[in-house]
Amino acid sequence: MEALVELKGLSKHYGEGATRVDALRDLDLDIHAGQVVGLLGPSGSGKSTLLNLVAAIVEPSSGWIRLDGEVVYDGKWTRRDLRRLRLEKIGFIFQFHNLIPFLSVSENIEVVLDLMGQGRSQARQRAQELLDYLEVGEHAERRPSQLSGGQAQRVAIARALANRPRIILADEPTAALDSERAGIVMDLLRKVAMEQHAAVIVVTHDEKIFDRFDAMHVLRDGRLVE
Amino acid sequence: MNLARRDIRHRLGRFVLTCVGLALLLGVVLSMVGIYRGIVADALQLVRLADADLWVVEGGTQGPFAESSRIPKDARETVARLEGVAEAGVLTFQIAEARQGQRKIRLYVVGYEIGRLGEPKHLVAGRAVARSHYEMVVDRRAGIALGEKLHLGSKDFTIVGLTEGRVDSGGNPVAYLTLKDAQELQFELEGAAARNQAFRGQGANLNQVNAVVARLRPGVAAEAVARTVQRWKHLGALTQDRQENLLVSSVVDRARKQIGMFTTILLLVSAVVIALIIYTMTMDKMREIATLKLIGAPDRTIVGLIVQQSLALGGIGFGLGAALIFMGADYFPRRVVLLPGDAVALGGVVTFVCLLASLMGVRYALKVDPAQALGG
Repeated sequence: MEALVELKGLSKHYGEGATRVDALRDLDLDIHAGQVVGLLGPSGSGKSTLLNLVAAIVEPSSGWIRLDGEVVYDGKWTRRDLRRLRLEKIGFIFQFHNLIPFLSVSENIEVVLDLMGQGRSQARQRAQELLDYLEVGEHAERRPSQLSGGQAQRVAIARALANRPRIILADEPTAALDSERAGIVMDLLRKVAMEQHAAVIVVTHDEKIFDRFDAMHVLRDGRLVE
Repeated sequence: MNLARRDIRHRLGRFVLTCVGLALLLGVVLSMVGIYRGIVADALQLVRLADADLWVVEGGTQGPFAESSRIPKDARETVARLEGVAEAGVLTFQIAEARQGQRKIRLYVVGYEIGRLGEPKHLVAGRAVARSHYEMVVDRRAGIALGEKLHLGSKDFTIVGLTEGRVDSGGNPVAYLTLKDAQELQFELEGAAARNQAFRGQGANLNQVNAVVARLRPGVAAEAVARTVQRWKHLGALTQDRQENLLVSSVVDRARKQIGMFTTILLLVSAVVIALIIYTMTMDKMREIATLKLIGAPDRTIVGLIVQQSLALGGIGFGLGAALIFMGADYFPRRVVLLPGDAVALGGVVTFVCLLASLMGVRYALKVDPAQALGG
């Protein structure tokens, strides 16, 4: 089975000469559809850099990235192409949900579909479907500030799924949740990975969810050590 | 999806308060323009009150408004006999301080001959001056009622008639006296000064006026009559158009520059205020902007969010400010003339200022790194 996320000889460094910092060194990694993969490591190990590279917001210094069959940064990619790639193929889940406070719960999901050019009624219908799927449908008209942490994170997952992404990047999605809610979120991510044949990459320090991954990769000093 | 509208709705209280503040600022800008228009209108009205086609003044001067002018009263007879002149009158002009009890009132005093050109028209109350002494027609702006007395110079005058909206370019209400009273007020010396002059054998010359005004017969060219008058070296002549241009360019010019400067400064202040508000609003949304960028929002969505908010701020602020000034113009101590064209032009300037002011916020927003949404 072809990998949805394929990283080969991936390196990223910042600065040059004496100020050079190697954030990632010669990294190889394949993640397949349906997999939920954990990315662990201490602060400064390169997790964020790796996430930024896969999110197509940072260009690698060497090596290549293939996302859903397309090699990113092969010299032909413009900023617009990268933005389009993120919009169509990647879903993002954040530690503090990052819902837009001036939009309603439903509008937070609709905005993604609006950016993709979908009509308003279609977007509204899809948003409601997703909210119902994540069991927060009754909060569609509320503001994010009116939700609990767990509800907000479910809405954030709904937003990440709005564009039917092939790749889901989750940055500490359970850090602000208790064990029970963290388990629910991880179950949801697994469900999404299975039902939508998506690859889910979760950056985490949260030991309570370590047993929920198909594979765990540990980064240290910019290298995969496990 | 209109993000700007939703963000405004979310922070409605703050947005409305900002709009009110901006409205007051832009209202002041509009009122400054209106005050300038008012100064010009008042000045021109003063020249037009005489209903003349030609102004005959002291030779070599551009009187009586731009420069001082004194000519013999009998110049009126000479002018009246000129070919093409239908009628002529004499006028004196001066600013004087009158008293009513403890209250002091600055008046622009016009002296005229009863029944001749220059007489006040369109009284809103009372009657014209009928006696040769101690009666006055004054503008309502002076705040004096019919029948009340006003002390002017060394005499008491009775108010017999009222006009409305007749003030000079400085906003002083116009008061009409008979020529004799006005001449005494302007040229007659008081007490010790009069005795001193008499001792020297020099009395006050009450046979002087500031200008002769003439109305021409239909079809007669004012320039031609003016050239005829100018052949007499001691007299000068200005057509009504020339007199109006002179007044606007010389007398009102400094006020125009001053108000133009204030208006420019206020517009700059408005621009800085809008820029700071928009910049602050953008900074408050840094994380949301980073998130939008990360999920794939194009730059135009982000730019649209900021520019639309800036335009909404300017538009609503300007609308409120204009409404405020249009409704409150009559309560200003000076005349405020608001022309729709000025409001439209200022609206255009405000739009430009808003676009300019949003640049700082746009620049900041475009520099926001989408990685910030990931906490990196």
